[in-house]
Amino acid sequence: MSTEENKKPSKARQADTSERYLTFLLGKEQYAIPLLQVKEVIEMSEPTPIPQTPSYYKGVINLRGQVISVLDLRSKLQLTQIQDGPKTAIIILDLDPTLCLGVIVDRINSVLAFHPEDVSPAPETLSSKEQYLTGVARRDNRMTLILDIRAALSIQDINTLKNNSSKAAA
Amino acid sequence: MDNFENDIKRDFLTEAKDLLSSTEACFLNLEKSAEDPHILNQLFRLAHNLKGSSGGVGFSELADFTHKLESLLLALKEKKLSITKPIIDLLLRCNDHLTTTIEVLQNDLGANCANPALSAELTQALTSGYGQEENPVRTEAAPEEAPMPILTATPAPAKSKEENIRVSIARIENLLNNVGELSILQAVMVQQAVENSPAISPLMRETLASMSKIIKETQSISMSLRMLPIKQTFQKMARIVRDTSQAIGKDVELHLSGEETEIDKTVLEQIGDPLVHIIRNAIDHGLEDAEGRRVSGKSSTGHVYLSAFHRAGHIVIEVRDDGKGLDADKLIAKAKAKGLLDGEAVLSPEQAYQLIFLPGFSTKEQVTDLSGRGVGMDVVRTNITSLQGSIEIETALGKGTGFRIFLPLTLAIVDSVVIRLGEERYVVPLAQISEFFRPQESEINLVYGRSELLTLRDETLPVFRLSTLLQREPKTRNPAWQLTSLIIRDNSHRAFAVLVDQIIAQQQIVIKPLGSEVKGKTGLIGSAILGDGKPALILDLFELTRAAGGSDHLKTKSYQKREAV
Repeated sequence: MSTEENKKPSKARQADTSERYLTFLLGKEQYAIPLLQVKEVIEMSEPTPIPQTPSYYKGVINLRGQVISVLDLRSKLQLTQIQDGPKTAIIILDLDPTLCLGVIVDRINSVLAFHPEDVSPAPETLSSKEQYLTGVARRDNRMTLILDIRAALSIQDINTLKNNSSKAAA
Repeated sequence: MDNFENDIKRDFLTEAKDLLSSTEACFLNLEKSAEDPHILNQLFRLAHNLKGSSGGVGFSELADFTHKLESLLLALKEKKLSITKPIIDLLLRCNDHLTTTIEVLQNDLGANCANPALSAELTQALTSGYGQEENPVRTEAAPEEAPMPILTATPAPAKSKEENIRVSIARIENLLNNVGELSILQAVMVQQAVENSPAISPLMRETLASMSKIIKETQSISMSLRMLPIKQTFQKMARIVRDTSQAIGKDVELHLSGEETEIDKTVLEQIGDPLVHIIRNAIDHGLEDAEGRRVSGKSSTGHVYLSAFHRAGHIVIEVRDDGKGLDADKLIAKAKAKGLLDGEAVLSPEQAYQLIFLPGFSTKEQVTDLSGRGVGMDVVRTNITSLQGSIEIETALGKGTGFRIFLPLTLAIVDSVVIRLGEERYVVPLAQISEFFRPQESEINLVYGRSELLTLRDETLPVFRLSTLLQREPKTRNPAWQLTSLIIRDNSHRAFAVLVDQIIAQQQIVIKPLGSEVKGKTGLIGSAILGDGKPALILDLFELTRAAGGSDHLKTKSYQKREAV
């Protein structure tokens, strides 16, 4: 996977407040999440489905002996889904120690460093999708949408999902 | 600097906890052999250590308290005070206070845990002959004459010179994880070698064989790291017996054996509550009162035997009493009165004993503080089942009752079957299945147009299809698969059948926990990684069928016959 850093930025720029992001494609749109939230990127492998879970919940995979849940970011954000191909990848997130999750994306692009000046706030529209955006970065005429991955996955909902389902069964 | 201080405090607390775990047993021993100088010396040393180091790291309250405790012990040692029941009570309460204090401090280093009332009692005991009006506790053997055997029997520091290091459980888990992974990879490799056998050189094959052996060995060594002797849990039970018997005024003696038996740490942590419950039941319900015992010609002191031992790949914990035993007729009458059993049901004594595991069943007429709150043996059995274990009753009217808990040696590896539902594979622990049966479709009868029933020998069993339980209808089914029913028997030996598309294999699996986001889901125990490296879900068929309305069948008469598993 190409998680190598883009070596173009000058030293002066690296030393200051710029933050590094992992950029990836969902459909044709380029998204980014802070690199600090990424544990690793792995090849797509077919998850084992778990019965009675929402459709964006793809199932579990074996990551070197650890069984972790995989969610489909494309269907979670209600984006049109393109077929899984050789570039489809799973980003293993590092959000908090008790929650280990992977998300499926269409393609990993690269690691980019954005200076705060490069990032403008997310446009204020009513569309629910944009609530997940913390900002929009622009470089070389390409727009990158910076994603609040916790909000996008509704981590809160995920944690309550199990409580509801076990209560309903009791 | 601040951090450094806190680190020292935390280290002290961990050590103190270790020290205290041995003191309770000492106090209880003191009651049995009050004049044994060895026990008092040991206690005195413990209190002294605790006082010194708690003062040293800056827990002044703790230091003050232990100072008083030490003075009291000194007075006892110098025979200025005699050891009476109130004194032992006081000592035990001090021990409780210290234990809770340390727990509180572990969570919050700055917490204030002074207990002025208890300190005052200690002072009073020292100054004004507290509890001295009672007769000193009787001692069983003349201790002055027999100090030698006691000395050798005590696990004194002069034991073997085995060195230990403290390792966090997280690191062991991590190691176990990797070893488990290693053995899965090894299985894949062996499979590959078998498939491509002509292409494999003899040296390669040999290497593979010895590697397999070493991996197996490594696995068993790393598993043993999680094993702890059951001793500590047993010692806690000694306290429970003492408190319970005092509270209800029965004279009870507890006999322990097999304390050195080692059990998986997780099992050990979870077996405590069920054991407490069974022991309280034994004292409260099982043993007669002194009057009753005399009438049936028994010694006025009741006996409870708690033992642990290995048998046939299991660890067995047994709680036995010499009380009145279970009365099958009484149990049946009770169950019928409570509406837990059909009026005309006929049960064998063995089936009647199983009734105590029904939710909402309590045999004693009078509900006491200690037991009989209706949250009884059904919870015990559920807890034990969740540890992949089982419980057995052996009872003789007028002679006593024994509960035998069978636990797996380790929770990490479970004998299971891999089953198929369409292209999906699932794992079911073998312990849940009582037998397999391949029915013809024609043997499954539809009732009321929705429920299905299956006749197995002379039993009629409700049928659940796995696809319905999981609400997943497979897209395709291969005609070569053989529809199989897994026969499940629940707590009260009610049986039902779960239909699956095929049984793929029987194998040992390593349970991997699921993430918190799906952990609590109904019917899922965890996951396992199969030979091809793909995870599969481990199902709890009891819970699944219960959720699907299995409890509707609670009163069906599938009692007719009890099949040996």
